[in-house]
Order: sequence, then structure tokens, then C-alpha cells
Amino acid sequence: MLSNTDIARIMLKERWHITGYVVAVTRDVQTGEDLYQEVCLKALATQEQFNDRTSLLKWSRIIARNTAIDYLRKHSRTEIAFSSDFLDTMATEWPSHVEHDCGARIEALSKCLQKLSPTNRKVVHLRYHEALSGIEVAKRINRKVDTLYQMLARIHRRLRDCVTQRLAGDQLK
Amino acid sequence: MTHQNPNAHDDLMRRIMAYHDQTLSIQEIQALEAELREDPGKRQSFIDISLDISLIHGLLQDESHLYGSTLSAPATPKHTVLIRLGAAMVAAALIVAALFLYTYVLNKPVGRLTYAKATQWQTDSLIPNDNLVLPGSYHLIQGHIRLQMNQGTVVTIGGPSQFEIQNQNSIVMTSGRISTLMAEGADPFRVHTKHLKVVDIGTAFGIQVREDGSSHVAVFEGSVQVSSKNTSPLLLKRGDSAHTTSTGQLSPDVFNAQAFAELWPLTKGIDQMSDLVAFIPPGPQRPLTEYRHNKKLFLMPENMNLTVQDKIQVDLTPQTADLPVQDRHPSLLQANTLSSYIVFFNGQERETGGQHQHIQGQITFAKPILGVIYNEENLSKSDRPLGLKGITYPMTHGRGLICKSPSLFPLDSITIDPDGHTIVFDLYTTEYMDQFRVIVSCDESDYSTIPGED
Repeated sequence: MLSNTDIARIMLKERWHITGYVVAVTRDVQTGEDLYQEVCLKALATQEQFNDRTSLLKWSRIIARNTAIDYLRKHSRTEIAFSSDFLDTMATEWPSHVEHDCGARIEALSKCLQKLSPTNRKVVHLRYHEALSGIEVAKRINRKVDTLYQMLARIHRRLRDCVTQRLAGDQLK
Repeated sequence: MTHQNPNAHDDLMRRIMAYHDQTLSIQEIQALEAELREDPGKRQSFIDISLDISLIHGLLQDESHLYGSTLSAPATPKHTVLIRLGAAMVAAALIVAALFLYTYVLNKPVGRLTYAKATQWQTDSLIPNDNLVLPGSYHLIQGHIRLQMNQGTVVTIGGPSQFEIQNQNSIVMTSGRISTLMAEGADPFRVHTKHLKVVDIGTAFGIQVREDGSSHVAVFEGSVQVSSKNTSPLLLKRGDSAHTTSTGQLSPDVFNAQAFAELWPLTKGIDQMSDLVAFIPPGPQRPLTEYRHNKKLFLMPENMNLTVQDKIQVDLTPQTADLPVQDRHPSLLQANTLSSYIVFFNGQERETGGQHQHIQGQITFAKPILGVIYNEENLSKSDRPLGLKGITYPMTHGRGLICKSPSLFPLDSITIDPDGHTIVFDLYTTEYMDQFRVIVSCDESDYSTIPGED
């Protein structure tokens, strides 16, 4: 049976995965963080007994899904989201900390972000730190929105390649 | 992944970016979903992007908090170190992780203190630190505080009060008085007492909890759902009240907002006002003409956080406050969202007998003043965009102030203090209903007081 400390430890390690799933559903990074916290509080407050990490993860995926859908309902945005059965499919396929070690990934990502060109860094900062909409970011850098999406797609690809290389390098050490 | 060509992959990535930017139409989302369903590789790309967005956002937030800058902060090696630690260190790391979770999740600020006056806290109480409000138990022995919760809901509490802030949308009141005003678009705000659960569903209400556990709920605006363990839930609307006994029996009650007389102005964004200003109490809406007093002005909040498309003609702004009255000219105010208040004098006709009443005083607003309308014509023009629905604004000749000579009457004087939050007035009222309207900003970062400066 997992103790509260065990639950806290696992939920902390799963922070990025749960937040990522919520972001995929709600498409709002700020909300992702808030709803992750709600899931954590529910995990610590629930009367449910978790036998092991797997049962907690399964439970947290369902709660994350329901919490995200509740959020969409509250904000009348259910009609402009993926269908609920597709969200279930994604929830079951969503990786966890075991397959996808975010600790090492964050460290690599931090270094890779610094390697981006000044313009790309500005785009990342405006879009993901200041959470500006695509239209606002495009205006700030004097580009069309579609061009911005292409830029973001390229930035993500470069960051992913860079992170993969760094992680592979670490494994060889 | 079954990518036919690089262009198709680029197009998918572009659409995923548009999806996360919430610019895809319903049809485009359905098409994207169908594509992702069909191809596990594409689904994996979508998952990867979503995870990366969350990681980048979190990383930049954390670095910003740690170093005060983004993208240039040095990377912390803590994760690598942790991974390499031996089994003996794992237990310690778990404790650190649990503490971090406690700090990060349970101890994250849920709001901020925007007003504090004459406060005294019990020694074992949490005290809002650096103006930030953390979840936990508080015991306010005396004074008044106003909190703005993270989603914008305003909570005002008067001492003595014991309460526990559970999160940004929930407070448990053990004893004392609380008044709340829910922000538009915020999640429902809940107040629990020993026997009651009150859910604010887009409204304002007050609760007084006595030491014996009995309580009184009064709804000032909108409606709330009140439930008790022992009795059926009630839906209370504006001007309704309910009472619970010390054993938890819930029943409707005669509306009484007396207990919240000091809290309500604070809740509605008034930090301070002279004794010669009476704040219109919350509850059932009455015509303005029913409020009468020979020596006092009445102050009534109108719409809070109102979205206004058109420009509003104002007679006084912080920029023109220093000018001689003769040089002040009306200017157009453009503000996306604003709140407004109407201030008026309405004497008892028989007693005033046409005599001029001299009323001096000031009103300090929580948010910065954007403009004041006191010209009769401009007041009438602003009734429609700013006035409260259901209220008939008296259109009598002479409803405005007379600040410029020549005039048969003694001149009124009204100005904005250099602090930008205070209206200072010196009025000679007549038998007419003298009025002026104050427009304030809705910027959440612009509260006037420095909390703790009692």
C-alpha cells in the first residue's frame, strides 16, 4: 500500500507527464499547471488505496482526463476539443516517468534552449513563457501566423533532436 | 511513422501548433483527430509536442522564479546528481520530493492581500507574507482584510474571525464574518462552515458564523446554493437570507446585511470614505430617490469589470486634476474594462427648504481613478453604458455639479488626489439630486494600499 509520501514522490515525478496530458486536452499551459495541482491534491485526499505505482498512475490518468474535461465544460469548450474516446486512447498511451525520464530531459532541454538563435529564443519566450497567443507572437516578430506555426514546428524538431543527442551522449559516458 | 513526404510531416506539425494555439476550427480538429487515430506514429508526434510544450513552459517558469530571467539561466545539474545517487540517498531524496510537493502544491500562494487595516493576528495564525496568501489556518483578532484570490474573486474578512483557506476557491469559516464577490469567469467559490456549504455561482454574498456554530447567510447579488447536512439545500437569490442553528438546521431568514456593513464597501473596491458618505447597503435594488439624507452623500457601486466598447466623455481625469477649473475640458476615455460608482446627494425636501448643504469629504478607491463625470449632460450620456440595469437615474435639471462660474449657486469643487485613488469633494447641494460618477480601472495589479500599513 502506498503511503502519502510514496504518492507525493510519484506524483512529483509525474508532474510533466500529467501537465502535458492536460495541456494536450485544454491547450492552455497555465491551466495545465493548475489542473496538475488539483490532481495531486485529489491523489493525497482520496480515500482510495493504491497498491502500487501502476494503480496510482492509472488512477491519475483518469482523474487528469476528467479534470481536463470538466475544465472544458466549465469554459464551454467541449465542442472544440477532441472526442472523449480519443482522449481515453491518448490517456492509455501517454508515457510515464519510467519510459520518459523528464529529469534528464529537462536538464538537456535547458541547454538546448540556449543554443537556439535569438529570434527562435524570443519566439519560445513569448509563446511559452509569456503564454501569448500565436497571433500576438506573430505580430511581435512581424510574421504571419502560419509562418509562426512553421517556425514553432522547426524549433520543436531542433530541440527534440538536440535533447536526443544529449541524452544519448550521457548514456555513453 | 508513416510519413509520405517531409511536406506532409511539416503540415501535420503546423496543424498541431495551430491546435495548441486554439485556432483550428471544429472540422479541422476532427480531421486532425482522425489522422492521429489512424497513425500511431503521428499520435506519438502529437504526444511529444504536448509534453515538450509543458516541459518548456515549466522550465522557463522555474528558471524565471529561480534566476529572474529566462533562456539564459544556467542549467541545474540536480537531476543528474539525483540519478547517480546510491540507494542510501534515495530515502532522503523522497523526503525532499515530498517536501517539495508540499511546498509547491499545497503551499502555493492562492491569492494576495490587497487591503489590511488595524489588523492584529493571533500568535499561532498564519499571516499573509509579502502580500501573498498561502493555504492554511488564520486567526484575525481584529481589523479588516481584503484578499484577491488567484481567479479574481474578492474576499473580505472582518475580525475577530477564524478561517482556513483551503485553496483559491474554498474557505472554511470557523467563526467571524466574510463577504465575497466572485469574479466573472472564475470557478465557483465555496465557503464552508461547521454545518453549511455555500457555493457562489456568480454572485456576492456574506456569511456570519457565530462561536456556537450558528450562522447567517445574506445574498447581495446573483444567487448562491446553500446546503446543510441535516436539511434540503436552498437556492438563495439577491436579497434572500438563510439561517442555521447551532445544530445545523437550515431555514430561510429575513434579509439582514447589517453584519456586513463594514465589509461590503471594501468588497466593492472602496478603501476609505468620509463619515459624510453613506455606502448603499447590499440587498434588494431600490430606486435612488428612496435614499434621502440631508447631511450625507450616497455612494452606490454600479457595474464591476464592465467591458465598454465606446469612448466615454469624462469631465475630470488624473491628468487634468491640477488644472484650474476654467481650463478643464471634457476628454474621451477609452478603457476596455472598468468599474463605475455613482455618488449622489438627495436631501429631505421639507427640511432642506432650498438651503444649501455644505458637504466636504473624500472617497478612496482600491483601484486607480480613470475619470470623473460631473457635467449634467455627460452624466446622462453615461447612464446607458455605465448605469445599473433596473435603476432609473433621475434626469432632473441640475443633476450635475456646478464647478465653473458664473453661477447663481456657490461653486462645487471636485478633484483627484495625486495618489490617483482618492476623490476630494467640497459640494454645496441644492434641492436637486446632485450627482457625479467615478470610473476606476480594473487592472488587478493596481490596488492602492500597501497591505500591512495600518
